[in-house]
Amino acid sequence: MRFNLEQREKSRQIESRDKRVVHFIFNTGLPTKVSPFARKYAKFLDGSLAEFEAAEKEKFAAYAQRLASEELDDGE
Amino acid sequence: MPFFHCDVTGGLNRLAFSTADDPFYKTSESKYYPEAVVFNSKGEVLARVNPDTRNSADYHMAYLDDVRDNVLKINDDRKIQISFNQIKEAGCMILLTVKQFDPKDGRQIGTEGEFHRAGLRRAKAETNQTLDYCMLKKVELPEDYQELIADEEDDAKPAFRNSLTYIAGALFLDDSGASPNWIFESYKNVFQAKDFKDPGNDVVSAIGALYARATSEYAEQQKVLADASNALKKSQEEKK
Repeated sequence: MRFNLEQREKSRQIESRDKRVVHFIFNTGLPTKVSPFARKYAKFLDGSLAEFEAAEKEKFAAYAQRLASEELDDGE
Repeated sequence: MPFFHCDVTGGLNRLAFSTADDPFYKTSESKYYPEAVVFNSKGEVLARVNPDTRNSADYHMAYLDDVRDNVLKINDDRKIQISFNQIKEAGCMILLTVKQFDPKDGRQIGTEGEFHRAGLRRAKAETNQTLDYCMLKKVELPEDYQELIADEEDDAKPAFRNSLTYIAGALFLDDSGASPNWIFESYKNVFQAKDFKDPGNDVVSAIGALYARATSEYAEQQKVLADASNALKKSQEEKK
């Protein structure tokens, strides 16, 4: 009997009147992280993926160049 | 895009990704089903679980029908259980989609308005706690969407069923940190079959290709940045 109660403990949690387990807090006030895939996917949806990829490539190459030649501003 | 991104933590080991044709009633027919597709970092499909392929032993996924349970208050019709903590392949992605059953005789499924409350849900499998939910009618359809498209050249041909594929979200095994951890992103978009009519071209392969490009570009960028910062450190040390 005790074994059964223990086994059902997890399913009983969701029926509890005074206990809830919260796994996520969605509004943390911090900027949302975005995966590299999600950035591309958003552009794929609005049909501007090719332009976005070309612009990103150019921006990244310029950034890497400035990093190598020590031209980056503080915090950049 | 009603987007969110979160780390999957807090003892979450098993997810249920489910669909309900109507959460309150059993519908006369089944219309929606969940599908999970596992990609590697090259965008290749490693496994696909749906009503035709119900299990993936390698990727610990199982498709289940008729999962309503009054006691646990499960109001879903079909679900895929994913024991993602047992998947160790770094860089893999599990894409969660909802698709429509396609009746062989070309008729419309169910009656008008029967599926207005249809929805998708992602929940903790052990306790049925909802982590993400969406009614399918709230996902914006393409402006030019039509369910059946008549053949313009030949009227005698049966109309093309322009079925929908909902992209609910994706789980990623991120190995860029100290220890690999799972990330979930929620997208909730829809694609129509008429945009992927060419042979060999479907939503899943398009997304796989996109994922491969995103992964390889990101890895390449990280390598370039690491090389540049190493070179920078070296030159600064030499100056000293």
